[in-house]
Amino acid sequence: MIKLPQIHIGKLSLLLAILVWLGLLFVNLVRLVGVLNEMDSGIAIEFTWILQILYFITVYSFYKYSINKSTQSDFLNLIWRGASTGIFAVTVYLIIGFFYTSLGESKLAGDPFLKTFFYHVRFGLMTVFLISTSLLWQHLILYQKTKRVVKQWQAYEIALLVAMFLVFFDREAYEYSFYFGMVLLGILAVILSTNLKWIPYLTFKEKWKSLLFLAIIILAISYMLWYTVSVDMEYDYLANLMGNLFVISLFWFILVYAVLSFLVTLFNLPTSSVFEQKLTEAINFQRLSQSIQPEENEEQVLDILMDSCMSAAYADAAWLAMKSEEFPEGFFQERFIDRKTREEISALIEPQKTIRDWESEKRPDNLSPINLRIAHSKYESILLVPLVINKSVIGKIVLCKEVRDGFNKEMLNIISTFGRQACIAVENHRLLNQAILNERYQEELKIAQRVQKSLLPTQLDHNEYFDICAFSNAADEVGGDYYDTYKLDENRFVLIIGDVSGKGTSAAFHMSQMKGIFQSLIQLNLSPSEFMIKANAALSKCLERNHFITASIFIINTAKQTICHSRAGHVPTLIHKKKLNKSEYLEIDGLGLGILRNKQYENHVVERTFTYQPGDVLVLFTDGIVEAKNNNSNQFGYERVRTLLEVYNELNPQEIQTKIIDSLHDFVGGDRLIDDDYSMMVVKFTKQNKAS
Amino acid sequence: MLTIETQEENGHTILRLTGEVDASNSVILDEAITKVVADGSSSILVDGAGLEYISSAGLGVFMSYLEDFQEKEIDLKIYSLSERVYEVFKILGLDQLMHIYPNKKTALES
Amino acid sequence: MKHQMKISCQTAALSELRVFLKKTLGELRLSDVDQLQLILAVEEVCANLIIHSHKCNALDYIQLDIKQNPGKLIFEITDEGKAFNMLDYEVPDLNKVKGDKRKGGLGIILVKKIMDEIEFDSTRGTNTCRLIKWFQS
Repeated sequence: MIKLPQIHIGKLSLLLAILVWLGLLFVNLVRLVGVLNEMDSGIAIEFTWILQILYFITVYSFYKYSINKSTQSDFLNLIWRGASTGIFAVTVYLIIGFFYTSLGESKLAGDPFLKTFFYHVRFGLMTVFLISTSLLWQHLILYQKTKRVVKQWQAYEIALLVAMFLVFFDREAYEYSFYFGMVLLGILAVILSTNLKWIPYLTFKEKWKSLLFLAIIILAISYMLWYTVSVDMEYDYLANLMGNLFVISLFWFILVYAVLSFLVTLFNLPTSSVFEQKLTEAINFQRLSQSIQPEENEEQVLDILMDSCMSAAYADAAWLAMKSEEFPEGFFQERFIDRKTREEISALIEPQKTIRDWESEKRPDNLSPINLRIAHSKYESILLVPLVINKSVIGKIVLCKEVRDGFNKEMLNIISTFGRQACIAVENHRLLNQAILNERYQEELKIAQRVQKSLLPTQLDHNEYFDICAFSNAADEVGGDYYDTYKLDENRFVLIIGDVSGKGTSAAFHMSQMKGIFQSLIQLNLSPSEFMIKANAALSKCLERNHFITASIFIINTAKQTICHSRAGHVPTLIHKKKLNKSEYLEIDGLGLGILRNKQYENHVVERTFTYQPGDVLVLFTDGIVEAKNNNSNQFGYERVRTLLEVYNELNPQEIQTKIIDSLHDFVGGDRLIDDDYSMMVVKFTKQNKAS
Repeated sequence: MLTIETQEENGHTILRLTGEVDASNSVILDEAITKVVADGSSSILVDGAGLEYISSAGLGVFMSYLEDFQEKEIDLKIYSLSERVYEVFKILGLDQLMHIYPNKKTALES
Repeated sequence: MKHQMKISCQTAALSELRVFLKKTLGELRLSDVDQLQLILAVEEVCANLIIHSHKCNALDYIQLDIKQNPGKLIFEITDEGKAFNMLDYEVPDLNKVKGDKRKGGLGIILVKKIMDEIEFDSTRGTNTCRLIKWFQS
């Protein structure tokens, strides 16, 4: 809705301009009829003037609108528009001239009506050319405008407006006021014409083009000026349309600006390559700092860096050498150089003392690019650019030039800036990736923790003949310790404790496999040794090589008061015998699960059945407890646990467990962490089963 | 070695055990008791004075008749066991289940 | 102190076993009651093995080791073949055994009552029954 009137302004003003021009033509022709017939046509000269001014204004508003609409167009396009209008106008001028030449001395050639008509055509075209070009100049002048320039331009526009109306006052008699106005507008035009900031932004090629266009404009305006002064002024037209101060001022303005632009562009030609270079550097710089997105890789940044450094230094060849964990040999990227030459040059520069000092610099932050001469058949100067990230050198760029002393101070400066910028970008990139990775890792760990927690039983199976408690602590977020219970029937309960080799997520994963194996095999009502043999067979198929699981399994029969036990390389279980008032370890043989992955394993399984008495205590644990070390690297050890049980066997299982864990923490030292998973299960047999 | 002498005395049948009863010879004891019952005795006295040893096999023989004798109202009494053999009976609580007496006199009196 | 004996798997060998045990235990200052009970327990285990595991096959042997550790006396009875785990054996109720001709089970009760610890290990076809008696000296 808002746009609609805007679109109409362009078309409306074009239509109006044409109508006004036709009106002007008509009025002047009518007046001409009056003058020729020596009768009053009843139309005053003011009518002509008003229509002339109206024509100026409509053309102005049309161009103002159409140029504003195409602000995106670059300088060259703008100048081309002026030049093309000029060519068109001059062509029309020439055609009219040719037409008159062809008429020769015929009657038609002297016809005042035809002359007046062509005069109006020329006036119309000239006005279009002048106004459009001056508006193009406005655009160029106001490039990188300051407030002062805007004020000057506004003053000039107002002055031009006033100039249009001057004709009403001096009535075509060129008096002082006319000359005063002309001088004033002329000076203003010169002042405005010093604003040529757009020129440096042209490339070398563009400058040549703009020179051509400016030349066309200068030629066009000169031709029109010449024609106006030498041809139109000679013939006494009824109304001197060309003599308006507005038109004269615009002639001056366009000519001055065109000539100045032409000269400045011409003189700027030799320096344009330097300016272009600086501009490229600035753009490269920006690319370096903006190019890295987290999903992009470092190589792209280093690519841009290489390009930038090479173009900044006019290097003939370069290579990039990276030190990284992925490529212990070094990672190389070569530009315009082959491997053989690279190695030749490396061999030349590496033994030099300055390079050795440079490479062994303790504080890489201080490193700056280093410049050297080499005696190589092709390349004579070399520039080494360090790449420093987080106070360590990650690599270097080597730039080669075929000329001696090819790198100057400015190049060094800009290249070291590039290097720093690229390194910052790479570092940020790494940090960001790390942060993303960390977050993902943390998320995965949380899931693993939840899963693992659910693997350990919340309720431990037992009956009234024994009490049981258990707990597990993981060194990492997730651990590899496992314990579980299973109720076979009213009187028979299975306890298992296990330790998966390794720590962290992979251990936790194997632990979950162990849980699956335990829960499925135990339902087959296997004896402990049969369980171990079958579990070994199952784990042999799913456990990675070099991984194994140690476990102890117990089947408690409360009816017979017996315990049947088998051990697969797990730390021995501690038993306290109430009758003897002694604690001892159940040291039966047995090999870890997954160590021997064939039938041989069966020969290493031992199963022991023994009786227990009420008051006896079983303490199952994992090696994290006995292997926990204190500041003096002493282990907590089996003997400490045994003694503790002999002292505290009268307590209930929970209390016994707390006593052991507390003294473990005291031993290790309050704030020291135990760097292994540790778990414990305590069973205490309470009362006699009457049946036995 | 186990020898069993059977002797009738005032309506009682006395079985005099000498030696050791174990798994290899408990059959002899079993057969002897079966024979006595078959002969119609309703009161069996076991003289354990010469019994040096008895294993579960021998004890099992006595146990196996307990119910049968209750039904048929046959008395089975054991007497004059040495202390160490008596202790074996006691371990299993047979001293409660069976009629065991220190000597022949107390056995006959009850 | 360490003693060893090989026993042929026939019931007749039991008296031979008792002689060996009596001689061995005689070196210790044990009461008559204790001595007899220990002999009884070992014999019961051996009798079980001879009868149930080896079906009185005289060609099979079982081995008895007697060890004396501080505070305890250990009898290790080792045999090869199918394991007979005495501790797994369903212990009968005495009252039910009364009329039962199957006299088993009593021996196991005796062993359990006499001994302080019974362990039963089995591996690689070798079974070891360990009877342990503690002495509060």
